[in-house]
Amino acid sequence: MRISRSTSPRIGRRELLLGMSSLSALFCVQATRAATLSGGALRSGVVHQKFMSVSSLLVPHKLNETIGIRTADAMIATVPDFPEHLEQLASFIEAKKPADVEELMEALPDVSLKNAAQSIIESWYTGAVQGASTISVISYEEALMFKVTSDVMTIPSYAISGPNGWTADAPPLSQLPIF
Amino acid sequence: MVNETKYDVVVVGTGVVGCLIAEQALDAGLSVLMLEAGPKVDRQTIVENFRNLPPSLRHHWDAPFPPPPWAPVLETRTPGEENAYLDLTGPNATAYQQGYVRYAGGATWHWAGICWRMTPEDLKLKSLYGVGRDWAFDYETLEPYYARAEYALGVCGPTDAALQWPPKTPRSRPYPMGPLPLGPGEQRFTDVMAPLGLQNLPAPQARNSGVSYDGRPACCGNNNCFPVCPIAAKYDAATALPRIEAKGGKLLTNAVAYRIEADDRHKIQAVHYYDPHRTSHRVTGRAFVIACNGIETPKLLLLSKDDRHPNGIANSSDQVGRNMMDQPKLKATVEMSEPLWTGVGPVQGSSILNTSQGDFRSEYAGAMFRMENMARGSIGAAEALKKGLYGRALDQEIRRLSACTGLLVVEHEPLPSSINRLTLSDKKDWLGLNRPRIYYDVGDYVRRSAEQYTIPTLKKMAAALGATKFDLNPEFLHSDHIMGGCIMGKDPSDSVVDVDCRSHDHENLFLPGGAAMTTGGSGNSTITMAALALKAADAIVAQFKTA
Ligand SMILES: Cc1cc2nc3c(=O)[nH]c(=O)nc-3n(C[C@H](O)[C@H](O)[C@H](O)COP(=O)(O)OP(=O)(O)OC[C@H]3O[C@@H](n4cnc5c(N)ncnc54)[C@H](O)[C@@H]3O)c2cc1C
Ligand code: SF4
Repeated sequence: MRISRSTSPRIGRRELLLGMSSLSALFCVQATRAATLSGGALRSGVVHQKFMSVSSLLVPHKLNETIGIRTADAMIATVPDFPEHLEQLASFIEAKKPADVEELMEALPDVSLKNAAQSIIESWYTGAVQGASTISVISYEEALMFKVTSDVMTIPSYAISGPNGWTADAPPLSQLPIF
Repeated sequence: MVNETKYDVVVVGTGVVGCLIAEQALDAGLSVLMLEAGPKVDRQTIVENFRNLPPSLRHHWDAPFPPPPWAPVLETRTPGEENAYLDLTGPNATAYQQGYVRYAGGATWHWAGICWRMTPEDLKLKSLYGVGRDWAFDYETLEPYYARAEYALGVCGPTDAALQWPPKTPRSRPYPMGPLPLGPGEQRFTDVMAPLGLQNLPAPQARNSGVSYDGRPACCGNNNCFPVCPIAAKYDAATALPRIEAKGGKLLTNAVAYRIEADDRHKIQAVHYYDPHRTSHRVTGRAFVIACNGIETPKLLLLSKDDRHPNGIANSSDQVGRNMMDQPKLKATVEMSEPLWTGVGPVQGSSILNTSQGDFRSEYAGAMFRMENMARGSIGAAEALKKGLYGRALDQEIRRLSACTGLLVVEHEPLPSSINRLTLSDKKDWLGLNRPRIYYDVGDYVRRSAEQYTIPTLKKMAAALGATKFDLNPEFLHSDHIMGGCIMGKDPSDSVVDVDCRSHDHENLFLPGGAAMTTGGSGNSTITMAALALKAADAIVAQFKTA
């Protein structure tokens, strides 16, 4: 992991700022692609479609396809054996047709496939892909972990209400938002 | 060597302390040069840096502020990295892992903005309780400066006198803005603590409540006050810099001061700084303000030793770098069966302070308690995912852990002690300057308080909240209020600065801010630093008028 620090005595402001914006590159192989998130330039291939289809069973929520494509790309690039695991998960689902993620996880025969499934779930919830030696940050505010409490809690750095617009009221714990 | 024009006032450091003084001097018609070790960075870059961090690093407040090589600070992104700058030693070295930002604007970039005044009693520890030191002046002397600081920073606070701090102590002016609402977590905490005699007060906070103030918008509860307020509703000194420049102040960034030069008659003549090419420059002035914070200011004084000042500048008392203070902090995570729901409103909005006062202070430290109000969604998610959950069970567990857990915090009042000392490390930084070495022991006064008073109180608080789990981190941590290294006093033989933060040794050298504080109190200290800065600014202006 390279630390964004040059030992050159001739570091200008431009280089410094570049160093700063590449802060994320320290941790995220995908940092430069972040810009394309809203640009719509990403095209979905067969692997991506498979990833979305497996994900839709693993994560029973509305999934953003652009994020899916970028997550799959990061997994292909950084997670060992990901394409094989994805293939096996897809075939297993095709063959057994589990009704939901609960049934699938119960039925999965081997630990490495369970772990692969779990890491796909984790990437949707955290907005990041944990690779062998890197973490790729795919999304911030779209990470599903924030949606689970979006009826009450602020996503840090985004506003949920307006000036002095929040109160001490909170909805019931049991009332999960739909997302 | 490049020689700059001679300025009336040379201010080193563009944090809140430096900016307040610079603006006062400009308003009085003086010419001002500000030297800043770090770069000017725009808010959006910092916000993006924060959002692009891996989730596990988003609670490392230093991570969105990567320092340039010439202005290093303590960093905590990778294991072991925290030892790369501050050279810490002593039994409580961890409790001095101070975070600050060496960018234009300084550490208020990532402060929480909480502004508790010290009390009249806090300034008289020696005469009332026989411990520590008395301040060189009383609360009445400081009060007008507190009020001015509250207006300069835009501090909102309660209008009801019964909810104001210090209690039963007259204020010369109301807070410039009324209080912010409490979210569900802090309201519940307030209600549950009241029957225990623990009064959870709405905090005075340097963020705009309901209205815009000073050209900055109203707080919208983004819950990101640290590491950065995305909309500048919270005061940070970076917001003062454009105004300072518009008033004619000259700002030099990426200029690392490394030597203060005194003449034969102990008058300060110049400050020397390095640019990022390691080229040295010299700037001259009539008055000099070193406002680099409680660690960097004493370090710079020690670095400036010469034949006539073998212990460093301003150090005939040998007190420079001694009495290093901060409020040693303990944290406990609690889990409850009922939801608390933190994360609505600012990251901190209330605290218990009546626990900081009382005659027990002759035996052990007073302390401030609070419950952090940070959104716990990402913490809940990390924990739930670790359990290998999925589907509905995962959602339910994330929601439960986000809502039904909380972080209780206690910050202890420190005493000044000469053994807690900053010296020059033999390890050097990128520019070849000695890194700060700091020995730190929280002392028996604080340890006794933790054993006899604060840990038992934390347990009582947790029980009242219906905690099913109470997980105390037994190690003292830092509160990031760096104080004491240029201690104020009347006697030049045992203190560094006088009542106006003027060096006893050099009539045109001012060392305002946390370093000048005689004792620390239990509350967050920056409003006191700001008040001292304004007092010093008045003295500087007066000195020019009589010259
Ligand atoms: C996470 C966090 C939360 C906090 N929350 C609160 C809070 O809620 N309430 C509170 O009261 N306090 C809080 N604090 C503390 C507060 O941030 C500091 O007390 C305050 O910013 C100190 O201001 P200052 O101007 O003295 O120093 P700084 O803000 O540190 O500014 C010093 C400036 O000097 C510059 N400098 C340093 N060395 C040199 C040099 N050699 N040459 C030139 N320039 C130099 C630096 O780059 C910097 O810009 C918090 C701190 C942290 C880290
Ligand atoms: S709650 Fe949000 S808007 Fe308010 S000060 Fe904090 S970060 Fe800024």
